Amino acid sequence: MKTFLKDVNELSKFHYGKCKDFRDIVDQLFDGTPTGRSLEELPFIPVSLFKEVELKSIESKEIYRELRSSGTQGRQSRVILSKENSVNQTRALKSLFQKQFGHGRYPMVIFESKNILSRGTNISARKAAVLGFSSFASERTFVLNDDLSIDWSTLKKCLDTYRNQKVILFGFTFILWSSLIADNNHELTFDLPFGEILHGGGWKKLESLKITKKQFKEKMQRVVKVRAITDYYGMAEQAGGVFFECKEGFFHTSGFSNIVVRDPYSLSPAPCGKPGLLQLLSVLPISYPGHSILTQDIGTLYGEDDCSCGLKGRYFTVDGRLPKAQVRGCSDVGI
Amino acid sequence: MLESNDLTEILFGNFETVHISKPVEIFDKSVLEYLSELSSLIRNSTDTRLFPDLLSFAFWCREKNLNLIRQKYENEQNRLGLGTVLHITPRNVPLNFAFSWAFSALAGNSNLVKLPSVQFPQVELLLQLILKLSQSEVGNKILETTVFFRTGHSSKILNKLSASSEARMIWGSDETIKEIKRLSTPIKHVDLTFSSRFSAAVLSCVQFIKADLKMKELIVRRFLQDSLTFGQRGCSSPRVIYWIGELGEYGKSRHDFWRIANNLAPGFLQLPDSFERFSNIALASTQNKHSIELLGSLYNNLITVEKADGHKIDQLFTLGTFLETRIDCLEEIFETLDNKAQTITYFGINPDSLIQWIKKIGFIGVDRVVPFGAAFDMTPTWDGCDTIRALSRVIEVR
Repeated sequence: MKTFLKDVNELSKFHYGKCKDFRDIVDQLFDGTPTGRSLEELPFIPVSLFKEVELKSIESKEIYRELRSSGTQGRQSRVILSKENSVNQTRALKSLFQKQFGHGRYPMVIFESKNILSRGTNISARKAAVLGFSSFASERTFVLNDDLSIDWSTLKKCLDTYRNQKVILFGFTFILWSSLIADNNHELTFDLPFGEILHGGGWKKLESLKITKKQFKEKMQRVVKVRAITDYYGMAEQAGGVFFECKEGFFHTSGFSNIVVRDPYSLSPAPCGKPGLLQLLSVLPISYPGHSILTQDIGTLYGEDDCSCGLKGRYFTVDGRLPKAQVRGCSDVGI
Repeated sequence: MLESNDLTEILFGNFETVHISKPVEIFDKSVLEYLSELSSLIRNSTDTRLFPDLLSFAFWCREKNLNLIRQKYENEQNRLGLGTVLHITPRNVPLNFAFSWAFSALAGNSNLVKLPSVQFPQVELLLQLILKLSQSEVGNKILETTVFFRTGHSSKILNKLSASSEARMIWGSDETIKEIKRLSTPIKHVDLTFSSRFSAAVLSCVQFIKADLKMKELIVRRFLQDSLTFGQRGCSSPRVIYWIGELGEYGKSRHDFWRIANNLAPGFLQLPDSFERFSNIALASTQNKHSIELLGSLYNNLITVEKADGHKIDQLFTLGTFLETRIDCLEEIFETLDNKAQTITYFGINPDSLIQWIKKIGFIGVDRVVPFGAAFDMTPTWDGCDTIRALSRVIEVR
C-alpha cells in the first residue's frame, strides 16, 4: 500500500510536468499539488475528459497506438499509448491473470467473432480485452458468428474436446448471457469439471433486464457446469490493471491498481460500506495522465486487507452506474 | 384520427371533441372559473405540499391573480382565440406544460398538449386533480376543449395535429423547434417558439455592502432560488453575474456574498450530479479561458469562474457554477450578452436604467428584467411575446 502511494505520487508528479491539461486541472482545482499524503488526497480527473481532450504526456511521434472506448453514450474516449505503456499493460495483465488462473497456458473459448481481431492500429476496448486475455491461451477458439449469434456446432465440438482439461470460457457478460442463455433454444448443456468462466464488461444491460449476479451465475451453471465463474472489472482508460472477483464476490485491488469511493454529492471520500462514485488509481498509465480517474460507476468499498477470502488489498463491489439526472437543460426536450 | 401504431397515450380528454370545439373570447368566464377552481383544489390538497412548483402554479392561477392579468386586457374588444393550439412542452421544467396550456386557454383556444415523456410526480398529481375536477360542471366543459397526451419521438400524430391546428406553442432546443417546424401546417397558422435561453444577474456592490446580515441572507437566498432550481439548467436560471462597482467594493461584496451562498447552497442543490459539474469544470480548466476559483475546496458547494476580459459569454455552466465579472457601467452587460439572453435579475439597481440601455443600443435579446427571486415567475408574456394577444385574433369593426 505504501509503495503504491509512493509510485502513484511519482507518476502524478511526472504527468504534472509533462501534460499541460493535467497541470491546468491540478493548478486550478487541486491547489497546484499533484501528490497526496493518502490516496484520497491525490488529484483526479473525470473519465469524461478522455472524450473531450487528447490527454498525453508524450510527444506525438512516440504514440504507438490509440485505444478507443466502445462509446455507448455518444463520443468515444481516446487513450494515447506509447510502446512502453502498452507493454506494461500486457505485463500487468499477465501477472494478474496468472495469479487468478495459475501459471500454465490453457485453451480459451472466446465468445466473440474472429472478426474482432481484424487489423488496425486503433483498437476498441473490447478488442483490447480479447487481445489481452487471449494472449495467455494455449489455443483460441472463437465461437460467435459475425452477427454475434452463437456457432453452436463449433462450441459443441470444442467443449467436447476440452471436457476433461482446464479451459477458460471468456466473454462479455451480456454477450455470454444473450448467447448461452437467452438464445439457447435447444437447451443444450455442457459439463466442464475443470472449466472456468471469465466475464466482464459491466452489468448495465443485464441490470436493465433485472438479472442479478446470483441469477447470472446460477443460470450459467445450469447451461455450462464449470468449476468457477469469475467477473472482472476494468476500464479502457486503465487497461491492464483489472480487478478480479474473489470467492466472496468482491473485486480486489492489486499492486498495480487501487480505488477510492467518493460521495456522489460532495465528491469527498465515502466511508466503508457507503456506495459512491468509484475513483480508480493505477500505476500503469505513463503515456497519458490516467493514473487517477473519477468514473461514473457506483461502487462500495468494504474494507482493506481483511477480506475473508484471504486476498489482500481493498475489496469492493460495483453496484451500477450513476443514473442520468432527469432534469436536463432546455436543450433536451422530450418529443 | 389516431392510429394504433402511433403509441400515443391519452391522459385526459379526446381528440374528437377538441376537433369540433370552437374558440371563445379571451378570458372567457368558464376558463377563469375553471383555473381558479383548479387553483383551490391544488392548494387544498395535502399531497401537493411537497412540490413548490405545483404550489406556485396554483398561486399563479388563483382568482385574484387571473383578474389582475385580465385587467391588462380590459380595453380589448372582440378578441377571440385562434382555434386549436398544439403544445410541445419541454421536460426540464415539469409544469411548463400547465402554464403553456393555461395561457392558451385564457386566450380562448382549445388545446392539444403534449406532456414530457418523463413522468414527474407533480405532473401525475396535477393530472389526478384535473381528472377529479372534470367531474364537475366547470371541469367537464374544459374536458371538451383539452387533450393531454404523451407520445414518442417523431410520432406521426404530431404531423396530423400540426396540420389541423391553428397555432403551436413549441418549447425546446433549436433542434426540437426545427424538427417540429418541419411538420407542415396550414397556410394560415401561428408558431410561437420558446428556444433555449440563458439568464444573468446584476447586483450593485455598494447596495449589497450596505445591507445588514439578515437582508444579505435574504438577497442570497433569492439568488440561489433563481439559479439552482432545475439544477441551473432552466432558461431563466442566472448563470452569469455582473457586479457593478469599484474594485474594492467588488472584492468585499463578493467575499460576503459567496460565503453566505456557500452556506445556504446545500438546501438548494439536491441532485447527485456533482460528477457532471466536476467534469465540466475540469474541461474548463484545460481550456484556460477564464480563471476558476473554488470557493474553499473542490468539495464545497459552489464554484465561481471569473470571466476573462474581452470575452463574450460563450461558456455556460450548470449545477452551482457561476461565471462572474465586475463592471463599471450597465452598458458593459450588453457588450458581452447576445440574443440568447432571456432574463436579467437585479438587486440594488434601477431596472429602468437597464431598459434605457436596451432601448438606446437597440439590443436584440433580454426579454425580462425582474428582481432577485422572480426569475421563474411565469407570466403570459414570455420570451418577449404576449401569448394572449399572439394566440388570439381581433375583429375590426367599423
